[in-house]
Order: sequence, then structure tokens, then C-alpha cells
Amino acid sequence: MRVSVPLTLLGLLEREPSHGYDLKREYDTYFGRGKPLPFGQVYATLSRLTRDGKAIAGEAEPGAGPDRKRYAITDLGMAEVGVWLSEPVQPEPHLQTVLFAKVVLSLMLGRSAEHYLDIQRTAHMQRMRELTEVKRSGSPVDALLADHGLFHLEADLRWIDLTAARLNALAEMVGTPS
Amino acid sequence: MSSAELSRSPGCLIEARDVVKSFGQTPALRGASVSAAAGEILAIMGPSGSGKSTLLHCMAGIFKPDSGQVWFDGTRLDELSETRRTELRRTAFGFVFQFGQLVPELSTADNIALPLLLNRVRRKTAYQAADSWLNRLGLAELGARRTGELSGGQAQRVALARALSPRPKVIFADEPTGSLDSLASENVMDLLVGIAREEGTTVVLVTHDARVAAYADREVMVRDGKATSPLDPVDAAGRHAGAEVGSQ
Amino acid sequence: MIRLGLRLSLRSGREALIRLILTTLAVGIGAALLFCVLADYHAFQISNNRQCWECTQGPGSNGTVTPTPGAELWQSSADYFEGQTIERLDLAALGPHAPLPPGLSRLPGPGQYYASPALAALLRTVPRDELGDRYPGRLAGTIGDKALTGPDELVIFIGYKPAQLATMGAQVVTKIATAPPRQVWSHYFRYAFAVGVLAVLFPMLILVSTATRLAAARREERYAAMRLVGATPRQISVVASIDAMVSALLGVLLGIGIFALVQPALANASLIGTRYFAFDVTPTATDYIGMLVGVPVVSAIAALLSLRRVQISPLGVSRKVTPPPPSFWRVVPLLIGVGLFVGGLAITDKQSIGGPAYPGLLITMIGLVIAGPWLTAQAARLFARLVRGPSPLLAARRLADNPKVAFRTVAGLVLAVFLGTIVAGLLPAVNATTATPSANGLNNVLLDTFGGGAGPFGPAGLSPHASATLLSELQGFKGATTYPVYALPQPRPTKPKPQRVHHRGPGAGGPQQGSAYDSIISCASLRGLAVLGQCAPGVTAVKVTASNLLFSDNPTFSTRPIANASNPAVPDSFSKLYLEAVLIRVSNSATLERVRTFLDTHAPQSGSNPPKTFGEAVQIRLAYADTVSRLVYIAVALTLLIAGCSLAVTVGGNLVERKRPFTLLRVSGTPTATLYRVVLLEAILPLAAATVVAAGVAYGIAVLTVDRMAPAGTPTPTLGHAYFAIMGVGLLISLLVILVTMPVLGRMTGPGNVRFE
Repeated sequence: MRVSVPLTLLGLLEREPSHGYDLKREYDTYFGRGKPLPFGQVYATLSRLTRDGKAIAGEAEPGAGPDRKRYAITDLGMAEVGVWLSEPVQPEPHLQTVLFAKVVLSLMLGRSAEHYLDIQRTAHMQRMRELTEVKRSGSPVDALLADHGLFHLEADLRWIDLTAARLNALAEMVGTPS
Repeated sequence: MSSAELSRSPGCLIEARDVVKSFGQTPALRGASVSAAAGEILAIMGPSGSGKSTLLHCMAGIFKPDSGQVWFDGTRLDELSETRRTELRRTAFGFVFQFGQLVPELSTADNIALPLLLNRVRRKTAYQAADSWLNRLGLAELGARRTGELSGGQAQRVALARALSPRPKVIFADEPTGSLDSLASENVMDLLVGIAREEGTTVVLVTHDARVAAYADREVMVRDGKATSPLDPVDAAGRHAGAEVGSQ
Repeated sequence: MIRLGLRLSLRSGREALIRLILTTLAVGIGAALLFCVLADYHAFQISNNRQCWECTQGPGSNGTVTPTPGAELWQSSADYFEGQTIERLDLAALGPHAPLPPGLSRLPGPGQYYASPALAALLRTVPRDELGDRYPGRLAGTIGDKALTGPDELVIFIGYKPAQLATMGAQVVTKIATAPPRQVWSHYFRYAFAVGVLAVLFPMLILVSTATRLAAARREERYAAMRLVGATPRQISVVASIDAMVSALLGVLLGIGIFALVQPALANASLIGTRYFAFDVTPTATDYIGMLVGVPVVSAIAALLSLRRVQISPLGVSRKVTPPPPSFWRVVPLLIGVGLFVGGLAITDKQSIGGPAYPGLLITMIGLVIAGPWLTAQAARLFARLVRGPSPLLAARRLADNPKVAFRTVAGLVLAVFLGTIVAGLLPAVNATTATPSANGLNNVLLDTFGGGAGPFGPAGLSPHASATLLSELQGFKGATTYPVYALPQPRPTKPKPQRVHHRGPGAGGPQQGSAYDSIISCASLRGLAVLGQCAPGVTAVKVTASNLLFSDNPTFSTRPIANASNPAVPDSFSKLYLEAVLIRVSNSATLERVRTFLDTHAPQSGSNPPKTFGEAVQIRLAYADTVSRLVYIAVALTLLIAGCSLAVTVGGNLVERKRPFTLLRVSGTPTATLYRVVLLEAILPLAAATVVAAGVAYGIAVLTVDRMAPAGTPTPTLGHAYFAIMGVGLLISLLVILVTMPVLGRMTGPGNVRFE
């Protein structure tokens, strides 16, 4: 599952109103992982968000094209970001990127990352319990699959634990909005 | 719900309430509350140094807390004399610790029979019980071997058998698979949980390993000497309700 | 629970079995040694309490012979043969039912005698003119054991007609004494035995407690596991006690076995000077029971005490904190003990040793053991400050960390040094009181007196006619030169009693002044008896005061010079003088015995002073001192032996304990030499520190003892070459024991051994 680009951009917008160009630059820095976001995708997402009322486009600045527009987040947008950040992700393998994004954004926005980590952890544990039950009572093939899932979930949990212990350092690095 | 209530919470077999415990200058627990219902398998998780082992020891009556209450089956465990608590360890509790803590010079059967012998059960009965546990845990051929000669996984299974032989009400396990590899761990946990469910034994399991904790019915986190339960409802401000949280 | 404890002790696998065997062996040797001491003490007690038939007294017969039923004439005397005493009893029944001395089924008739087995054997082998001729009659049988203290004793009962004995001043006896002899020296014996028992008991205690503490750490882990499972402290105590008692009991049983093997040799060895009867040299039933019960109990107590020091919680013994360093209070018992001892000595008089002295000595020994760790800690600290290098650092650190354990290794040896030093200080002093050079000068001079003391022959001695006959007969003896001493012909105001000149130190000047002259001796005789002095030139005979020479039983005084230039001269005609005594220089022992036999049959005997040489007189006095010193030497040897066992046990145990940390050190690159040095230093430092103090205290005790208890004028004890040699050898042997274990340590900690359970 890939990270949700609209929500991430929205989150970045909540931090401070920005031009599309700046948004793309920030996204690439924090979440791009070597794969920069195409400009087209950025502007398409921004216009969809605006259409949905979650963002608002400001006055175009003198100068040229859509990249000179300044976007800001609306109350609706903020609420959506809030809900998104406080919801656990469905525990499945390969969701590191989402976890990561959520934690970093929470820090940027000054929200309690601890709380999110706690509930994500609970969700993970619940899923691990389910998988363990499968492992104990299911067929051998089921057990293999369950083990696979369990190990990945465990890896997530390890990261969650470590992150929880490193929150202060992270906060300083990322910085809170002025 | 105030913590000044002097009766146990209903439905709990074993409960720690606002337990505070320090060793010399070092505080280990700063007001931890945890409870387990009869037949429940509870996992206590937390980073090292969080006090989870100490919490387990307080709940098992090995330590007396500096303040707070520990309830077991309707009586105040922390108010009992050392003699009575020792007796409980013989009859109502079983222990599986990371390194087994078996007596290496005694044979496997001796170790399993030990709690019964200490309880003045007749030798014949005790050793018969030991034999049946050996069979149940897949150690049938190892009855006469010295425990010092066993592999890690075998030794932990012997420890488990020893914990189960007096038919305890609660089994306290502290990192029972800490020194084992994955398969041996799985083996031991399978047996522990399986037999506990069959016998209806309550299990309090301390571990930092999520995959081990996943065998339990429920987990609590211990951080900095305080225990939090993730099942508490959360308010909009993101704080837990209820008195089970130490003050911020 | 007891069965479980037994199981744990006996069936715990190979390593535990080896430990059990080691402990049993060590305790067994110690127990056997203790049994030997007890056996000898028992024999000594028996001989001490045996019926003193020779103490029988009765009214003098005054030469009359009245037939009286149930009475006999009785004269007991002593005689010598080659340095051994012969107890002689001359008997004559005055009527039927005369009292029977022990060991006889009937009285010897006239012309018969009964001899002890040893004497009978001598009579068969020795030429008649050296021994047999002294006794009139024939050998009619042997004396039973009841009358004897040992198989080597020489006793003879001779039968006479009443008329024969009456003239010799016999006593009339109707009842034989049954009380034990009054031993003047017995309180010294008790002192010596007390020291001996302490010397063995103490190291035994240390040995037992050391053996009990072997592998204590492992056992404590075991107990923690049991506590986890819900064993009560009481149940743990039971298991711990059984563990200790099993090896202790097995050790005592082994000790009994060893003792049974050794006992014949022990009985034959005259450890204390005289041989006892073999059946007497056994410990009593009380002793056996005491050991069988006491040693296991002590060992159990030691185990329980060491349990107390450790907090055994169900979670193990991991929370043990480094024990606090030993405090200065540890030295207090030592000071108290010395104080008590000094106080006890201060109130000692000739009659008995002051009460507090015994407990003082005991407390001093205990105090040494208690103060040991403190001394070790101080020594370690000093050492660390002075010396650099990895080995001293490691050793000093470990010693400072746990000095108690380090000192325990050498505690036994320190006690041995303590006792040995006391002995070395006391012995020469004791010997010096008797063997003076002047006594040596008259070593082979036989003295026989004929009067002047309590003699029935009148105050003066042998009549001029009889003495002339005697002297001419004595001339005929080859290898014997006779020097007569004549009585001064004047009424003597009182019978001069032997003078004890104690206020004078040695060499306080020549002849005794202040006493009246009582004898005459020719200057030729004086020249022959050089140490007794010289006449003035040109003089042929002088008046002298010979009472000390003739009647004192202390050779130190009796061999002092009696003449110098100032003695008044007298004419040298002796034909009208009474012969007081003869001094006969003999060239060999056969001649000595022949002369003695001759004198016995041809000269009237005074029973209280049989003829003997000055050398023999010295021997008699020395015999007592010799016995005491032997006892204490044996005690020291025993202590060293037991200390050796203790050391071996400790070092062996240490090897097991140090295996893991030393292996790790080696794996991380520490050279073996460094480790060896560490082990050596750890043993030497406490040994050196405590030994120096022990030797110092002991020397002080010896000096004080001599000062109070020995006769005035005894020189202050010094520690001679022999002392340093023996101590050196002993300590060297102990170092060897440690050194021997080094290669084993090396093998055990080889990097190949890194695989732990």
C-alpha cells in the first residue's frame, strides 16, 4: 500500500500555506525516498483537494502558470488530516512508509505522536494475536503464511518501540511550525 | 473508581493496584496497576528497565511492595507473612523464568517432583505426577537425566512441568523463551498456552518479544514503572480515562 | 526432606562426588589425628590415676618383729639401671593375710622375688654383676599389669624373712594405699595437653568449616531455586545441614578407620617419654561418641552460619553486595586474649597456673583467626600502594574485596606458627634450667651417700673401719675412680637440709658462704673432680660445705664448686673419720652398673637416695621438661599437618571457583604467568601479614611465661636457628602445596575450556 499522496500533501499544507513547487520539494525531501513526485501529480492532487473543499487556492501571484498559486488548507482539510493522523492503519506487511509518514507529520504538526504509536501498536498486537491463533490451529501452509506476517508485524513493532523512545530527538530535527 | 477501595475488583483472580517498589535509591515501580481474570493469559510488555519483572515479582508475592495492594483470590497478598507467601509459592503459583532455575544436580524427575515433595506429598505420588507431566510435555525419555545436561528447550519444558506439577492457579513466566531460538520458543509457548487453557490456569507473562506476547489474550505496557492498558477508552485529547494511569 | 537432602548430597553427579570424597578425606585425617591425641591423653590419665602402691606408708618397725596377722614389713626404694628407674619393694609378711600388692597372686617368700616382665627380660640378658646380684633370691614369677604403668616399667617385689627387714628400717604396713600418686608436675602436663588439644581442635574446626564451604556458590544457587519453588527457609536449613553432616560423618568414620590402623604404632611409640600399655592407648567411648556427634554438628553449624551471610531469595543470590571491609573491632578479641593471658600469668604462683591464663591463650588463638581478615586487608592496601604491575594489582584488589576468604586459606598455618613460636620460646628456657655446664662436668660421676641425711646409721656415715674396707674394695674396680668425702668430726647443730640458693643468679661466686663447714675432702679428690673447685697450693685436704653436693636433688645447685683457696686446711689423715659419701667416676655404663650392684650389696643403702650419677640426675629432671616439650612439639606438628589438609582443601576449592574468571582472563590475553603470580600473591600476603603478627604475639607470650613460671635466672628466650629453620620449612611446604596446584589451574583454565555449561 502506498502512502496516500493527497493526505500527505494536505498535511504539509496544514503546516504552512505553500506554493505547489515548495510542496513538491518538501514531499520529495521527507517522503520521496529517491523517487520524486511528478509535477503533474502534484498539481492534479492539489486541484482535486481544492475541488473537494479541503484546500483553497489563493490569489495567483503575478508571474505565470499554476505553480505560482499559493495554496492553504481549509477547516475541512484540517479535520481530515486530524482524523487520518489519529487512525491506525490496517496492519499488514509493507506499510512502513505509511507509519513513517504519519509519525513524521504528527511531529511536524505538533500533535502527540506517542498516542498514535500506542494505538498503532495495539492494532498490531491484535493482528498478531489473530495470526498466532491461525498458526496454532490452522494447516501447515496457513502456519507458514501466518509466520511470515508475524515477522513483518514484529519488525514494525520494533520500529514503533524504538521510535517511541527517540521522539525527542526527532522533534528537534523536524522542527515545529513557527 | 478510587484506588482507596479496599476490596478487589470483581472478576479478577490476581490484581496489583498502585504498586510502588524501590530498591535502595532506585525506583522500579511508581504506581503500577494490572489485573488478570481467572483463566486469562496476560502479557506484560515494556522496554528493559521499565519494571515489568519487578511487577511480576510483586504480584507473585516474592517482594512486598513499598505501597499499594496486591490481591490474590480475595486476600491481600502483600499483607501475608513470608511463611504464608512461601506456602503459596509451593501450592498456588508456578514459575517459569528465563534460565529455568532448576537444580542442575538433580534429575529431571526430581526437579519436577520437588514442589510436591516440599509440600510433603508422598514420594510415590509425587514421582507419578512427575512422570505424567514428563509425558505430557514430550520429555518421556529424559526422566533420569540431570537437568544440567539438557538443551535449552528441553530445560525450559522441564521448568514448565515443574511449574505445572502442583496444579497452580497462576503461572508466572518471566521471559520464558528469552534464551531459546524461534522453534524452541514456539514449542514452549505452544505448550504453555495449550496446557494453561486446558487446565484453566491463569498466566502472567512478562516479555519484550511481541511474538511471544501474541500468544496471550491481552497485553499491558509498562513504562517507567507505570502500567497502562491499551484497552481503555481514549478521549479526544488522546488521554486514557480511568485511574489506571499514573499521574502525568 | 531429609531424604531429599541426602539425595542432593550423594547423588549429585561426578563433580559433587569428588568434592565429597575430598572433604571426607580431609576430615578423616584430621579426625584420626585428634583421636591419636585423645588416646594418648587417655593413657596419660590412666597412668596418672593408677593406684600408687609405692606411696603406702606405715609406722616404723624400730627393729622389732612381732608376728601380726594382716601386716607386713615394707620398704620401697628406687634404683637405677642405665638411666631407667627400678622400683624396688622389699617385703616380709608378719603373719597370715598380709596385704597383697597389686599384680601379685601371693607374696614372695624369703629368697624369692617377682619382677615386671621388662625387668625379668633384663635379668635374663644382663650379666649378673651388673644387675642380678642386687636382688637376693630367685625369680619366682612376673608382676601383673595392675601394678605397672606401662610395658617398659621395671618393678621388683623381693621377699624376706621379717628379721632381715627389721634391721633395715622397714615400715609396718597393714593396708596398701589405693589413692593415685600426687604428681607435682601434673598441672604442667595439663597445660601441655590443653595446648595440644587446642592445637589440633582449632585447625580441625577451620578444616571442617572450610570443607563445608567448598563450592558454596553453587549450593546457594541451588537453594535459591528451591526457594523459588516454595521451600521454606527451614527446609533449606535442613538440606544444608544434611549436606554438611554427611561428609563430616563419613569423615569421622574414616578417621576411626585410619586411627585403628595407626594405633599399634602409636601405642608403641613412647611419644611422651614412657610407653603405655597398648590397651590403654585408646580414646574412651565418650571420645568416640563426642567426635561422631560433635564434628557433624560443628560442620552443620558452619554451614548454617555461612547461609546466614547470604540472602537467599527466590530470585537467586545475585543481589549480594560486596561485603564491607573488616573493621578494626576485629582486633579486639586478640587484645582481650592477650590481656587475659597476661593477667593469668600475673597471678600464677608455684602451686598452680593462674586461672585466666588458659582461657586467655584460647581467646588469643581465636582472636588471631578473627583479626586475620583485617590484617589481610591492611596488608593488601599497603602492598597495592607500594608495588606496581598487573599481578600485584589484581591480587591486592581481590584481597581487599574479600579478605575473609583469602585469610581462611592460611588460617591454619598461622595458628601453627603461633604455637610453634611459643614452643620455640619456651623450650630452651626449660632445658636451660637443668643442664648447666657444671652438671655436665660431673656427668659420669656416681654419688652414693651413707648418712648425714635421713639415714639410720647415725649422723655421720660409715664407720672408719667399714669405710676403709669399702674403699679398698672399690679400688679394685677397673675403670672406676673413687673420691671419698668424710664427715667433719664435730657435733652439728642441726641436720643441714639441702639448701636452695634461689636468690642468687648463676655464677654468683664460688663456695657457699654463710653455712657451717660439714665435710672434709682431700685435695687430690678435688683435682679429680675439677668442677668442684681447687685447694690453695700446698694444701692436702680442706673443710668444705658439702650438703648441697650430697643432698640437693637439683644438679644445678649440687654441682657448684665447694672449695677454693679460702677453705681452711686440715691434715690429710682420714683413718679416724666417718665416710659420708663416695663420688665414683666411671668410664662406661657396664662399669657403672657393676659399681652400683657392688654398692647395693656391699654398702648399707639409704632408701631415699640410691646411687646415681649426676648425669642421671640431670636426666630425671630433664625427663619432665622433655615430656612437656615433646607434647608441644607434637602439637605443633599436628597443627601443621591439619593446616596442610586445610590448605589443600581450600586451594582445591578455589581452583573450582576461579575457573571461570581465570579462563576468561586468559582468553582475553592475560599470560599464564600473571595468573600464577596472582594466585601466589593472594596466598602469600595474608600469610605474611598474619604470620608476623602471630609470631610476635607468641614470642611475647613465651617471654612472659618464662619470666613468671621458670626459676629465676633463666635467660630470656630467643628464637634460634632451629626455630627459623622449622618455620621456614613448614611455610615452604605450604607454598609448595600452592605451587603444585598452579599447573592444574593452568590446565583447567586453558582457552579450550571456554565452553561453560
